[in-house]
Amino acid sequence: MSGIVAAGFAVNFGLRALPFLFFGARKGPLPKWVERFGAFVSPVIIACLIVYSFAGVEWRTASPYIAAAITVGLQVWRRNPLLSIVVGTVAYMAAIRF
Amino acid sequence: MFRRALRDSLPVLMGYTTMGFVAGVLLAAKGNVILAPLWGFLSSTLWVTGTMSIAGVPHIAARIPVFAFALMTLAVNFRYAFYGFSMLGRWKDVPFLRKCYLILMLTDENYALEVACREKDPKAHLRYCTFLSILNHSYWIVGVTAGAATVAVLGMMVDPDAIRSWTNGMEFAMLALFLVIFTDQARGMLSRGK
Repeated sequence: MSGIVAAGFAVNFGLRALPFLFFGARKGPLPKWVERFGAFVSPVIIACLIVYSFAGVEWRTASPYIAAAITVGLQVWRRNPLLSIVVGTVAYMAAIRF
Repeated sequence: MFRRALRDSLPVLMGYTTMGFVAGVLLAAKGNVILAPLWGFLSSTLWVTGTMSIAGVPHIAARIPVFAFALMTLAVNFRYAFYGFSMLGRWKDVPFLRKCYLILMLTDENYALEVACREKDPKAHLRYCTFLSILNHSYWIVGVTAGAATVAVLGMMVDPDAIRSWTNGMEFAMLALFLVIFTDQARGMLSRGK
């Protein structure tokens, strides 16, 4: 078990450290393409995380899609992240119970 | 900055404690390990990844070789290798150990919030990232350890399934968090395009 914990730590930390290992030691400004890649990669990753997160909820039912629409709608309307997330989550928790 | 980090971490609190609890319960109930709370504590402190803490349990129970477990983690969590690209510039001059901690804590949720934080002052942004990392780390550790301990110690008195059924659906908070951040990013891009 201690071997498993050590392996999990090594792989997870290693993956997260990879860009820093390649570009961290470099002096001066980062190459333009790295900065552009860094800016481009974040909305793409967030979009992937959204798709990926649907796998963790009851995606075969309508509930998460209704709750997602409520969350996005509230965020567009009120621009209050905590409000959108709490109302969306409560809506989902209610929806899967009926 | 601490108050802002605390406020932004509240959705993560809901998600991490419930998801961590599930991971801890799984490890203790199905992981086939002795001292499950200890292993839950160690793995949640050092890995900080929900995917492997939950998906890895059957393989831990089946006594999968360490090498195979490492390979599986590599495949499942390969996305982490891209997160650092967005933080390279901002964390360039952060001292080594602090940077190591921030890198260890580059989870899906931390990454999303740290990218979304538009703080211009690098020092304030760094403080935000650090507070956020410590807060979210503690939620995850408490969730996993409490889940494992509940099964291990109170398994006879409290039915972990009952607790899980009450909190069932709270994991939607993670999806909602990503949706909100994406909505704001899309709004930012649209207004810049005008």
